[in-house]
Amino acid sequence: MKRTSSKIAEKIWSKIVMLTILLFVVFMVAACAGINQGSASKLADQGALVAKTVGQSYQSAGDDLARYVEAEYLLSGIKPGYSPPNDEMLKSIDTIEKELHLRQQMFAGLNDVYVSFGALCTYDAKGEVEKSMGNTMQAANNLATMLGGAVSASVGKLFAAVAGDVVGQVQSERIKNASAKIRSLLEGIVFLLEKQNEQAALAGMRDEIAKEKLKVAKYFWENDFALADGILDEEIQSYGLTPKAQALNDASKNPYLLKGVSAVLDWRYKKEVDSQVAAYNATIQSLRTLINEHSKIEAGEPVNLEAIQGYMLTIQQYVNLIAAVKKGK
Amino acid sequence: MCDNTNTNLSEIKRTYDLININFDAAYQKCDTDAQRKQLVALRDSARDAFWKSIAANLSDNHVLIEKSLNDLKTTNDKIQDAVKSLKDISAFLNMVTQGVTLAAAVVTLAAA
Repeated sequence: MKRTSSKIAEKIWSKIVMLTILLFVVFMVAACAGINQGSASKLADQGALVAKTVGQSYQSAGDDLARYVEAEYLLSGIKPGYSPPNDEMLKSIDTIEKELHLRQQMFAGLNDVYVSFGALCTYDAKGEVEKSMGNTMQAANNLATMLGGAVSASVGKLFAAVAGDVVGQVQSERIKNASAKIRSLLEGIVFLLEKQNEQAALAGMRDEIAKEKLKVAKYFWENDFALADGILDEEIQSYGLTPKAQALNDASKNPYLLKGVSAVLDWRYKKEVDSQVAAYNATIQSLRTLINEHSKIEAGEPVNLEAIQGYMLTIQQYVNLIAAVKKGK
Repeated sequence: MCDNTNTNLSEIKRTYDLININFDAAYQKCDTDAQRKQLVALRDSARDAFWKSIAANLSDNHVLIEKSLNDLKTTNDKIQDAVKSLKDISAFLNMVTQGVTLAAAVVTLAAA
């Protein structure tokens, strides 16, 4: 009798063990099926690219601002009645440079977040994700503090979901959890960038910079202090022609060329302003696309990252335009 | 709120642009050194107000700003008309003085 009971108990235990193993296997399969690690890895790459490119666009704006100050000094020497920058203006410019730098830091942090998210997808770098997210939140909070109390409070609420450790029993769960945290982080960043005057202030600043650069360029061109080789060469060389050295030298003395090159300068100014507006819009759109694709990753759906490539091209065009002007091309 | 604060920035920028873009022509039209000095000082003040407004990233607006902003819009419209002919440079300078004063007031109120 005692032996029979022992056998029954043994059978029950063996079934319990089998059932536990089965449940564990089912749980593991379900958890792994929920996340496509390859897609998450691709999203990490694209996210890093967005962060890097947007960071570069803020760097370009900062470089452009420094050149603007020089243009104002230059104009004060060459044009009657133009004053050099005064202390008050330089103080404002200094504040703006700091604001741009804070944005750069925030995007450098976001780049780190995506690099570590990529690592989490390959070798489970949970600690790295937590550390980089903490750093980015800090950079974004610094920016929010500079933008004022109401903004700071709103950002604080948005970032509440980002705080804390990346949780999950298995790697796929941790990827899902980290993705949700990054999504909250991105929502906070978009909120900051769309804050009341961000676009108007940046557009106004960039328009003024471009206007004054145009003024300097036109002064040099219209007063016979500059050659238009770059413009004229580019235009006719594609048809196999080379401008005569004498023609290049005398171009600003020819009333038709004087007018024509001036019109090209006006058009380049317009192109620069348009490119800046497009770059800002592409920044917001690329971040919104990332938010959307993170939601898909978390839902186990396939991602579509094609749109991001287009946005990155738009931002890169602006960065290249500023870089070309900087190098004098 | 977003639209209004953007309007603050755009009207301050409009004041500065109206002076800055037409500065060379207005400078040529000035008859006296005093007028030229006044015009230079106005351009400087408008430029300062513009950069200050960008830096401050205007974050607030209330009734006083609304009133100053409406006055600034009206003055900017008048400057825009006057700059077309620049017939009376003294009247033009007075109008620009009013515009720059209002622009500075909007910046100060918004940054407060």
